[in-house]
Amino acid sequence: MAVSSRIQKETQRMLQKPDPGISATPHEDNLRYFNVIIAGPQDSAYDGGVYKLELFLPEEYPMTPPKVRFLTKIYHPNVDRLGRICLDILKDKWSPALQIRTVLISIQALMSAPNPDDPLNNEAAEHWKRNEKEALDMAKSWNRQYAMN
Amino acid sequence: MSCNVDDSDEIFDDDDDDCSMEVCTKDSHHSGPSNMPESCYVKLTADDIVKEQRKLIQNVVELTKLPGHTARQLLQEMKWSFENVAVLYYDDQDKLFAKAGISVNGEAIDAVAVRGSSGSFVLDQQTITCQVCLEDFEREEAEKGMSTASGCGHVFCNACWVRHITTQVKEGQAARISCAGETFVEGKRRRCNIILDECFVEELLRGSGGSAEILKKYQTRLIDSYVNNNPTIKWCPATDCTNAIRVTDSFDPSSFDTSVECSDGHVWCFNCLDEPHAPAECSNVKEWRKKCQEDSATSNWLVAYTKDCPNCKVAINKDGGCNHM
Ligand SMILES: [Zn+2]
Ligand SMILES: [Zn+2]
Ligand SMILES: [Zn+2]
Ligand SMILES: [Zn+2]
Ligand SMILES: [Zn+2]
Repeated sequence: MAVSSRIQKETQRMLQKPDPGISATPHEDNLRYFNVIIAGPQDSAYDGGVYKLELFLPEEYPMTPPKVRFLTKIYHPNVDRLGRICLDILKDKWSPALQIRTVLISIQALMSAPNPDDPLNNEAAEHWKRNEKEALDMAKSWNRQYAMN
Repeated sequence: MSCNVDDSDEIFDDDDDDCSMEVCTKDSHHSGPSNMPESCYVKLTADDIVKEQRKLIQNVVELTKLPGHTARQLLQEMKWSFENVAVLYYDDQDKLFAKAGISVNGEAIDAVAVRGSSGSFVLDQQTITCQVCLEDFEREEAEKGMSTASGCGHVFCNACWVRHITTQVKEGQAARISCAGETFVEGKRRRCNIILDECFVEELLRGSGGSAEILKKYQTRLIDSYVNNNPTIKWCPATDCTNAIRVTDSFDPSSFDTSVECSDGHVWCFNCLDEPHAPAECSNVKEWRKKCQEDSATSNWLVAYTKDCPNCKVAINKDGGCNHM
C-alpha cells in the first residue's frame, strides 16, 4: 500500500528520534496502521503501566485526523470502554500541521491531566468529580491489573 | 416537503419589492395567491442576497476601516447584524477579533512568515518547509508556490492549502474554514483559530489546482451562511429554486395567513415551509402529514380540508364532508 512522503517522513523521524515514553511502529503489511506504546506518565495514576494503543491513518490524512484507541484497559474519564479517546485535536480541533507524534504526546498529557468536564466515560467522570482520590485509586488498581504485565 | 407552483390566472405584480409601511390585515386574503400583503415580506433573488450582504459589509468597512473580507468575518460572527458588530467593536475589539478568527488566539506554531515594514507578512527564510506535506521550498519557489494566511503568518504550499480547503468544503464548511496551522493555547497544541478569508480561499481554488465545483460549492455556502444566520430570511423550499423571502417588521408569525410567494411564483408558508394552509395552523398540517404517511388514501391536505373561495381561488376551510368526495 503506497503512502505519502509525509507519512514516510513522519514514520522515519519517530523511529530515529522517539519521544520519551512513546513508541509508534508501523505494520509491515500496512504502513498506515501503527502499534503504539505509551508509558504511563510518572506524575499520574498510570505510573509504571505500559499502555498499548492502535493508530490508523485514514486515506485523507493529514487533512483528517488519525484514528486512535487504547487497547489496554484504562480507567480514565476521557476514555470509554472500547478505548476510544475524547480529545479535541482528534476531532474538531485537528489541524493538518499536527502529526502522529503530537497526537501521541497529547494523549500522554491527557493521561497526566484527566478532564472530567468533557467526559466520554460518564461513570468515571462522575467518580472523578465526586471523589477524585477514590477515582485515582481505582485508576491505579486498573493500572496494576491491566497495564503491568 | 413540497411547494406548489401556483399556475392560476393570478399574476403578482412585483414591480416594487420595497416594503411600505402598510400593516398586515387579517382579512386581506383577496390580494393574491399568497394572502399576506407584500408589505410583510420582501422577495429576494440570489443576486439580491449578494447585494444585501455587500451593503452590510460596506457599512462595517465604513465603521471600522477594515478590509472587506475582515468585515465579512465580523458580520458572520455576529449573525449578520450590523448593530451587534458595532456594539462589540466599541466595547471589546480584541474579543471580537479573536472570536471572528481575525487575530490569533495563543501563539502560532511554525508561523514562518514575519510582518514586514508594510504590516503584511513576508517570507524571510531561505528554505521554507511546508508543515503539511513536509516538503522544502527554496525562497523563490515559495514566493510563487506557497501562500500565507493573514493574521497568523502560517505558510503552506498551495497544493496543501487546496487540499485542506477542499476537505473542509466537502465537510460542509465555508464561512468558517480555519487555517491549516497549529497554535499553542493554554499549554495545548490545537488548530489555528484564524478563519481563512474569502479572497484567499477563492484565489487558491481558482489558481492552484482547485476544482470549479468546489469553488461553486464554497460560494453557494457563503450565501447560505448569510441566510441561515438570519431568522428573517428563508430560502424558497421549491426544488432548485434559488429565491428567498425576507419578512419585515410588520410580519406577524401568528397571523391568520403566513404564506408568501417567491419571485418565481412558488407559494409557501413562511413558518413551516409547507404548502399554504390558511386557515389551518402549521401544527395541523404537521399532524396531517403524519397521518398521511400512515393513511395514504388522501395525499393532499388542501383537497381534504379546504375548498377554494369561489371568488379568488384561495383555499378556505371546508365545513364538512369526507376526504373522498
Ligand atoms: Zn505542502
Ligand atoms: Zn494560522
Ligand atoms: Zn421559489
Ligand atoms: Zn405553516
Ligand atoms: Zn376569497
